[in-house]
Amino acid sequence: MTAIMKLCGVSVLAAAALTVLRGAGRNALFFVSAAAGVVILTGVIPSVAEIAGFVKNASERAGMTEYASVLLRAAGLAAVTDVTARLCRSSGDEHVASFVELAGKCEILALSLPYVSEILTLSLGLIGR
Amino acid sequence: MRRPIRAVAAFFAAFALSFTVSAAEFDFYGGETAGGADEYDLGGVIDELPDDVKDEAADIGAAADTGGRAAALREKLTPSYWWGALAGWLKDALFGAAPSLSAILGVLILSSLVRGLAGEGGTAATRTFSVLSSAAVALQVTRSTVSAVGTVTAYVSRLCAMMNAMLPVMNAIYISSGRLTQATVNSSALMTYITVTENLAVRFLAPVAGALPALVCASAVAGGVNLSPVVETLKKGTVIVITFLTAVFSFVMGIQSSLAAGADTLAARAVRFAVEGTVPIVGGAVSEAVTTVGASLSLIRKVSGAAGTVLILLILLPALIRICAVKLSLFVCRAAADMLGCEGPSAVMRTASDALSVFAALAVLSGVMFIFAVTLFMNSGTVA
Repeated sequence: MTAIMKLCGVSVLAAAALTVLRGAGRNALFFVSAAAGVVILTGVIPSVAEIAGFVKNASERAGMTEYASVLLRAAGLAAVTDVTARLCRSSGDEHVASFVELAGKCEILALSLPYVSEILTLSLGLIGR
Repeated sequence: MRRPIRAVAAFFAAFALSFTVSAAEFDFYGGETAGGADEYDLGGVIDELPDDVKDEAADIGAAADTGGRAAALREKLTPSYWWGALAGWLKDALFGAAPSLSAILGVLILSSLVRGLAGEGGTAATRTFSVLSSAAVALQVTRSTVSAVGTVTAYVSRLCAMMNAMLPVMNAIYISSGRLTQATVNSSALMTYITVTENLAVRFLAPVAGALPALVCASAVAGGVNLSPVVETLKKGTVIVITFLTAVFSFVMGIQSSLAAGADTLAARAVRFAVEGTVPIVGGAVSEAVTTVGASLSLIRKVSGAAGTVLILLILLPALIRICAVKLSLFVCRAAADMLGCEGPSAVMRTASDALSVFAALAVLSGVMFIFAVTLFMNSGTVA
């Protein structure tokens, strides 16, 4: 409870600072937003680690260990890509945001390649039988 | 004058008495007399069975004579035996499908969680994450489907091999019963059906079932590709072909068996009439002996037929229950995917379930067809 109260406090302070600094120019706004984002994300890390640990334990019991690690990595990639793209858009850089999104999509698709490869191997095995 | 005649008569009598004539060496049909225990031996049939079924049927194969085989069969024709066997197969099938079910459900829940955190509509990265989760589900479903398809093709191959081994036994009993035409008809019809069924399962259905997961994976990754019409067409076409083949073969085999039975009965009665009329003194007794031998073969025929039916069921039911367990797990996962809003994985599981339906139909119809052939064999009477 204390952690979330701290994070809410940081968010409110960041919003207030942005309102005050709005007249100072876009550069200041971007750095304040980025700093607030980093502080909030850092505060969330313990909760995310707890969720990841729970998912790993549950996946071991369910027999989906090989999927869980890849899916968790992909979820982390998606989250980081999403946050970065939003930051870029808020600073007015639409092009950089789209490049970041493209990079994130490519990384996630690369994670799915082993699955696709195994499906094709199984299919070719049946076709060739 | 009388002395030479008596001497000649005595010489011929001594000559005639020096030959031994026994019924065992007299063969109506020429060639070897079919009556040895080896030709009715089901050992060759038992050898073609899968290992787990071989254990169940060991007592049938080990029996030294028809009486022993009948006693072993009596145990297997009780409801309690089949209830126990069904319970065991169900338990094995459900426990075998459980790991796949839990893995798919886990991926679905994780995918739904991520989408929920991303919010309505999601971002580009979140949508790409959905592609990854669809690929993960497609892989697990493909593994289950390939395993089930492998089970069915192995079952069909084993069943065909078993029926191939059973053909000589059936033919031997047909010939011993005086049903030569029926033996020929049964042999040719069954061999044709065995060849068609095995080629259909191994050379056509298995490759098509192999192509489906690849297409499903492509649709999951590319998105926007609807495979339902393709799968539906394949399913309907295959079921129509299998049903048509089974109907044609059952009709042909039934009609041919009736006609052949009539022809064999007519031929046997003609032989009996000829033997009664031409063989002096013992003609009537020889003719009655043929009828008695045929009647005694009735027990052998019925026991062999019942053993064949039991063996077919012992091969068919575990494979069928295994496919049903995989379909049930796919149904549960599809319901969960629909509830969680995972459309891609839901489409993957629907395609796999439809493909397995085709294989289940092939398994059931081929088993029914062979049971029909064995039943015809059991119910063929003796020539009288």
